[in-house]
Amino acid sequence: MTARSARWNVATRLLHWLSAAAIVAALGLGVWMVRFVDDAAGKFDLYQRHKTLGAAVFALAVARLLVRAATRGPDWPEAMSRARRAAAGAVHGALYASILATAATGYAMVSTSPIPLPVALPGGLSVPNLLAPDFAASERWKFAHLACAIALGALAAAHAGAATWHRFVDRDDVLSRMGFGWRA
Amino acid sequence: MAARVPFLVLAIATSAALAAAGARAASAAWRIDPAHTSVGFTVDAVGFPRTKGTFSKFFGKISLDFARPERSSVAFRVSAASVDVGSPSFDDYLRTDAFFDVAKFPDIDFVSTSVRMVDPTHAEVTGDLSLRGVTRPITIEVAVDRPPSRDARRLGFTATGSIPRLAYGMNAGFPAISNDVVLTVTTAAIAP
Repeated sequence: MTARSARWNVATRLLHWLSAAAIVAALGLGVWMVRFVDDAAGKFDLYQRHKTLGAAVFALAVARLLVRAATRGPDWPEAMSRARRAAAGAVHGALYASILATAATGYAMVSTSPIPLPVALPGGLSVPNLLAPDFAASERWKFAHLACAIALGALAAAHAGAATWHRFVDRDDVLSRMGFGWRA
Repeated sequence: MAARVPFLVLAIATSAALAAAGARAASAAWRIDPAHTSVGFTVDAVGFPRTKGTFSKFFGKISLDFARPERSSVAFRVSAASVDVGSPSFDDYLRTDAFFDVAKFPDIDFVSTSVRMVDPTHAEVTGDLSLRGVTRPITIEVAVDRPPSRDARRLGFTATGSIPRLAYGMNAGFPAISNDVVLTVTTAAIAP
């Protein structure tokens, strides 16, 4: 193995950072619109944007999984212990799962809501509500969506923390090979 | 406001009855002052702030009979498409068939059928409310800003009522969105 491992392929790097931005925006908007916006009109608009953003997060995650399945990523840094490799792999898997679960529970709460208001997509399209309206079910999905979003936030924070650790403590290239910048 | 007011024939029965009784002069048609009129509503929802809205296009007439207040009448027509809750996209959503269905039912009408004075400044007005093609009786509490008298040139009214929207086929969102829509109309009527 060479001292400098290959970067991730460009599609993965693009999708990674787009996903990161969309997830941070969706989580931030989710907290903001639920906790800090008190007027109905403002809340209505932000909820619709959050739903569209959630659809983007889901689409990006699916695209990433497809690219991940079709391509091979760089090897682990040699210095990384087996335990840390296992931990990183587990967090990555859990991140994918929590992204998909947060999007799916969000869709389920929208779809089962007694308020017929589908997720709007660009171009005037919308995601059809395939689940029957059921207020009690939508309240349960709402709770599940919150739980998944908290898990996603925690995992994303752990993931970003680990990347920072690699960069400044291990001083390896785990972070830079997901980037586009100049590498030593 | 009220730039394009639809024509409304109002209180035909009352007028006819008064004319028949030869008491036409006793009842006078007052005009609604659009600049001092607000047709507002609020509705509560679970896990969502109270939605407050107004209708910006309406037309109304008040016929007042000071000698026999129970012969007074009121008719109001509201353009459903003029709903305004403070967000254009929310307004558009309320115009869809989930709520007001303005394409099919452009107008919301209220025509009084009876007026009962509770005290000199309060009345109970019962009438037919037509919403989404359903006409049902409702009772509105009306407060007048001072005891009506023949020499008054302006009178302020505040009308409040609760509309059970399910009864009018407006089912979307229930029970997340309450059945009860609280209506508050404030208006100033100008003497003829």
